[in-house]
Amino acid sequence: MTAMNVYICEDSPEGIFTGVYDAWAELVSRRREYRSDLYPSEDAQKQKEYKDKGHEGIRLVNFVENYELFCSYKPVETSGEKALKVIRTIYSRLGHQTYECLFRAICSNDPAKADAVYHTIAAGLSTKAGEGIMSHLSNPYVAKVFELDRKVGNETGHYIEFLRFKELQNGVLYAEIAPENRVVSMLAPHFCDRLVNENFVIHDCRRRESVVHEKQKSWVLVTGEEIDSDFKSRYSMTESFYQELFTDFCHTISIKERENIRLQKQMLPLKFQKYMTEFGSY
Amino acid sequence: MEYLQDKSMDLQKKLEILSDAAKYDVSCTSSGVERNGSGNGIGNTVKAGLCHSFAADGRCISLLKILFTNECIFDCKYCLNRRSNDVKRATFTPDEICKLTIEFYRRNYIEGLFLSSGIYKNPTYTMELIYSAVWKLRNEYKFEGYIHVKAIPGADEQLVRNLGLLVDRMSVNLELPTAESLRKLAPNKSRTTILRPMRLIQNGITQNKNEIALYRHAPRFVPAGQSTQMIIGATPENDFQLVTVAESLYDKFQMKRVFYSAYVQLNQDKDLPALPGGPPLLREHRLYQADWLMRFYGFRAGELLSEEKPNFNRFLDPKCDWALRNLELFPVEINRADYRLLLRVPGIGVKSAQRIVKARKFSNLSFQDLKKIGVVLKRALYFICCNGKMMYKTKIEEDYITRNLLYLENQRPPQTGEISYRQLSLFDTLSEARGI
Ligand code: SF4
Repeated sequence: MTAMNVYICEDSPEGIFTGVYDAWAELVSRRREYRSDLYPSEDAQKQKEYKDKGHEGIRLVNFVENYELFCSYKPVETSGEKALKVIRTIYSRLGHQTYECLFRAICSNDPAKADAVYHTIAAGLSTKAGEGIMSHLSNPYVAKVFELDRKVGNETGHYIEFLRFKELQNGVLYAEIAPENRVVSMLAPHFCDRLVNENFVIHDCRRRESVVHEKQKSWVLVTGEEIDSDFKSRYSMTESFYQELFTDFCHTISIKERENIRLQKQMLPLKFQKYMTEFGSY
Repeated sequence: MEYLQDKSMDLQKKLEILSDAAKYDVSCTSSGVERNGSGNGIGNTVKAGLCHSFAADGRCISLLKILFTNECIFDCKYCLNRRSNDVKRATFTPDEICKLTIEFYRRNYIEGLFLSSGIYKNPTYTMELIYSAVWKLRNEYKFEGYIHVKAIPGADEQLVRNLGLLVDRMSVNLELPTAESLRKLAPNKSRTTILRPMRLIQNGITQNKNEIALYRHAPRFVPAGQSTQMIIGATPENDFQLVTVAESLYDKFQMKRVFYSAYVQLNQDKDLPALPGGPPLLREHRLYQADWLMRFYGFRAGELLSEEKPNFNRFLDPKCDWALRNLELFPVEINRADYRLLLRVPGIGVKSAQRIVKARKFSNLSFQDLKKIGVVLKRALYFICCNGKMMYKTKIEEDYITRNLLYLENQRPPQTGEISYRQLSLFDTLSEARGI
């Protein structure tokens, strides 16, 4: 007897949504077998129990650390088509806000995210909750997605505020970040609207992923490419001038009678300061 | 237009002088208006506002905050730029202001520009200088980010109306809470010259709303609304007077924000108090907390303080203080209480209250759920019950709860100042959308 079906999916939105598709499809077909072959005359209550337990017997992961007994492990092959079907279902039955929550949760670096996403979708589709599913915080999976969504949303928000562009010799604005979660693509819409007439690159140096925006065009995500260190260290003529001006400005604007470095650190954690012009990262 | 400028002074020096002179204006938010870029320029605005950095005093840096000039014909006693002070003076050109704004903005240093000025020649002339810089920034440099300007009291009204169509926020500082204090410390200003442009801006905003209802593409007048600021601790008014003034500014002038600025002693003057303990930061902090309660939590000034109890509790925040004086309303049943009552529970903020109301439709909430929702249970536990039960056996008794809340207060990490004002960060240093 297998207690648990574990689906191992690629760590990407497509990968996880494909995992959702496969797990769900298999559950449905198993349930059909179960009903028709083994217990043809089960009453409705029993069937309901089975259905619920069915979801409980499913786990989604991105990688396996220790293989456990009584689990059957199933690698998931990412399929854009299956992922799209799942996304459509989420959109139409759970609403775009739920979709955005799930998407942000998937961008987190938490190992439990894929499982939380699966079971949140399952709860949303199998109860009357529908678009309101993200309010069911007493469901532990929903609470997990909620928590991850918040974390990723916060980090995105922080980088929108704290990332710094440097102007390179060719006029390109270049920003480097090292986020905990995969936020780089979530930064893109904000900066593309704001800097529509600029060429810019936002580079996530942990994942080697960049958002690349060409003036007046839509942005693209470039993955797996290292940025040429020569390219990114040749600044324009005026770059250091503005860096100094802003650094001085930040010093002057502080009121010395109110100095409170602890508060400054609390508002702007050191992990961000490291990458910021005015804190000495030239 | 003629500019009083010292050609030999470089931009670096000017920026130093004119940002140093501008920093005592505490409003730093870039909030109140959501606007996408048009595609032809640079910039957009975000409703909640953004903070791009934090200075060593823990205050947020959101806008390039500068004066056009620190020349001034007025002689306000509390101000560094007053006529009688011998300080280095500088004046920007409109192009310098535009360049700085754009270059800072491109690098994601700032959300936009905050432009104020000393009174150069006369109020109207000064307003013209500000107008010329802002006009250039919008039309020649195509800047579509956030702009906050000061309306100069006594300036030509048409100029204020025109400027309002270019900027996101305007403010006129009330400076001091009473006309009498104003007379004493700012002899060249008067309550009337300050309130007149405030009313003008308010009327402009109202009229503009009607126009927009008629023609969707009508130009927008001060879309992020109007704000003002009062200096705290330079004059003898008590907290009750201050919150009452703030309340009437919200009610009668539809202010978006009232800012409080703890008085910093910059000049020696017989009319100014000596503050050996430094600026009254804790008091300022309490005022921001109270202000928050009035704007988002439905409290009235008269509920928080009174003639008999005219000052805030040094040790407890105004919400706890209020709750302790109204214990007969507690404990509140989380699964049933009205939204407005939930808001009044210490430890429950606007967001948590909204989440509670949504989540309890689906299932009865437990303390565990409240924790996930974001309720600060160690505060709230004295005031709430879930399904008829309180979290622990606690007495609902003023002394007992006060002692426990004070204990919590003391459990916080050590403070630099005499009394904890850690929560400062939650109020004045952050943009307004981030709740309690
Ligand atoms: S008007 Fe008063 S407060 Fe403003 S700059 Fe002049 S002296 Fe200072």
